[in-house]
Amino acid sequence: MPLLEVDGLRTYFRTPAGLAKAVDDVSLDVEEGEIRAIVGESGCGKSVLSLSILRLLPQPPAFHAGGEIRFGGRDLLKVSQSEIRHIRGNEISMIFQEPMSALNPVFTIGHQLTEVYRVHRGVDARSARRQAVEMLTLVGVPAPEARLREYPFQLSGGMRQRVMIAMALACRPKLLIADEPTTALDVTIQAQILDLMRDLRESLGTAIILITHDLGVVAEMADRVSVMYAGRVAESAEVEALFDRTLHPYTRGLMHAVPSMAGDRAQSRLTEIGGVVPNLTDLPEGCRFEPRCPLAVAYCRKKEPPLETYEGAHMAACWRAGDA
Amino acid sequence: MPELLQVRDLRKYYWKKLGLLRPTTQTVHAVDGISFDLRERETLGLVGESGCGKSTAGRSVLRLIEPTSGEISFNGRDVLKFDSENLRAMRREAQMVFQDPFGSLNPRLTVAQIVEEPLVIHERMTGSERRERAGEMLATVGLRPEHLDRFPHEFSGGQRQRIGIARALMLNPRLLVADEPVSALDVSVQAQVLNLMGDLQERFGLAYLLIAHDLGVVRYICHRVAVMYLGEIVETAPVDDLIRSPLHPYTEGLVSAVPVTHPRLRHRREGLRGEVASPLNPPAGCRFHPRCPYAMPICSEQRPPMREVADQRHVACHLHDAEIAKSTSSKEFPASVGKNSPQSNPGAGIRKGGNP
Repeated sequence: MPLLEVDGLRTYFRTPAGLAKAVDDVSLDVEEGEIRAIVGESGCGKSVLSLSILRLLPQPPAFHAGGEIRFGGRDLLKVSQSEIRHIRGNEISMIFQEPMSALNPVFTIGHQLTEVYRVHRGVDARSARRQAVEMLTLVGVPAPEARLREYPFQLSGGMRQRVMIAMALACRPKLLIADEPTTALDVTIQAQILDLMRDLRESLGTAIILITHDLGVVAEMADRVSVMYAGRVAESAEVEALFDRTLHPYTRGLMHAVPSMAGDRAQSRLTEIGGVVPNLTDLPEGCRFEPRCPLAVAYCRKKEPPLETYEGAHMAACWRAGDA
Repeated sequence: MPELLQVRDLRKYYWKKLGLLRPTTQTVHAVDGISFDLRERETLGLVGESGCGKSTAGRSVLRLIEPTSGEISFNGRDVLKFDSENLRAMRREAQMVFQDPFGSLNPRLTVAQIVEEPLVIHERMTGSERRERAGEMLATVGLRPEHLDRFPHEFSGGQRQRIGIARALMLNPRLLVADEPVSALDVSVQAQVLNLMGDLQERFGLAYLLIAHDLGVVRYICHRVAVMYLGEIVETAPVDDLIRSPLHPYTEGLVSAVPVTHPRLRHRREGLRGEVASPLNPPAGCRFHPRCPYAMPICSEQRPPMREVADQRHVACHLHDAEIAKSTSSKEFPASVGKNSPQSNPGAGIRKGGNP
């Protein structure tokens, strides 16, 4: 049985402009110890999806419009407030893009990190401190004792993200949700953080949902990947299968649009995906990608394509899946 | 092609007061003696990580911030000697495109007012002439003339970046300094803007000084690249050479840190250790030496000078000093790079020899 199963999830927002279907019938599962990537551009719903899992969205304007999120035999959308609060941090934790805004600027690193142990584990201050030092060592923070006395502003971006990871993994959760964890970091620091996350997955067996816009990060890290577009899963596959052959024209467009470090530069134009992402309050009736799709036919405008399985575990939501 | 821009030993320091009562100040060496050339119709990439001074360098060139010292020659004229009138004349020919398409357009002005503003300042034209030119320019950058009467908030990030580019092109400049022009954009939109920049370069004969951190973007759009680290340029090279065979250990680390393009290419990388030092107190000798896997004793003592080691290839690193290479055993350090052997791959040599 998978560790986490998202089944037909719909998270909508009531906005002055109308109903925004930010996540609209999304299904995916995460196996134990797996790195599961969710990739897409701004507004595709990947962050709303991850926040829905931990019920971290403000309601209203957000509301749950359907579907289930099964984790450890429970539906996370139905459990009580106190239960979800217990699950957060203990069983599922989350790290964010900007570690500066996720850390409290007026408390020391030590205060914030030992608090996790004291609140969630109920240990005394000295033991919390010892465990905090161990955890900082594990995530590769040099001179951890000294760091405990420092404030977030005294750390670099990479160090802050290491501290965030230490806090998130303090209670050894089974699942870590990492929302663009390296987007704000320089590329050499990104490489260090990605290495760290891979190592921690190996040593602690933590499954990771990796939310990213960067196909390079997906290629580096993921076991399986779902591509989201305008609130829906466009394509889902084992990572090698996706990079070997894309079934959805959006995924293909995305791959060709990236100015890559490999291949021949002589073919000097990047492939553009024309147009812009549709407005979530005013979605096209048929396929959401149809207005930008190079393969669109009349039928695509009429009926929304379901997510269907093709070779192996490779799924795509496209009437012309696999057509070149 | 003739040189359009020559920068020599450019420096920009900031002074930071330490505390309220102590009268001491510390110097931030934001840009510390960089030199480069930019030819007409060429794109030079200025790359490096946050805090390396690339944006400060780009802005100093246009004197949007005043450099502390150095020489900047644009079109054969000394930019640092310009009075305000000369400077204004220069701005006709050298314009800037900013990273943030949200912050760089005044939200209270219509697109027409934004795009026509350079004409109001620099040209004597009637309102209808300006409007016509603005409409044409919008069409050139892939927008429509009817967008003229809208406000910036009505546009997406990519469209706003097009507006910023249109504004920069209104006076037919020869140089655009573009500071991370696509890094705030989604991939699919980024491709549109990069293609547009390529087309505009062809059409108007523009030279670009592109400030960027994404080596993929740099590889796609630049002819040559200058790599910056802690206020200094450590290597310059044609873009393909730089990526295929980086000479400076920092460049090598930067290139190898870029994520793979296919999961089957995953590999354990050595990676750069540590983090960039503070520009308040840069390390002595080579500024990269605390992070350098090949550091030698000399590296913490002497700052390596920039040397030409092959055609169009310059590097500031003691590993590429023929004298030093000769005086150390050949199995530990790579052979010096001959000026006649641009095909050789000294980067691979370093990798084999320096870090067993």
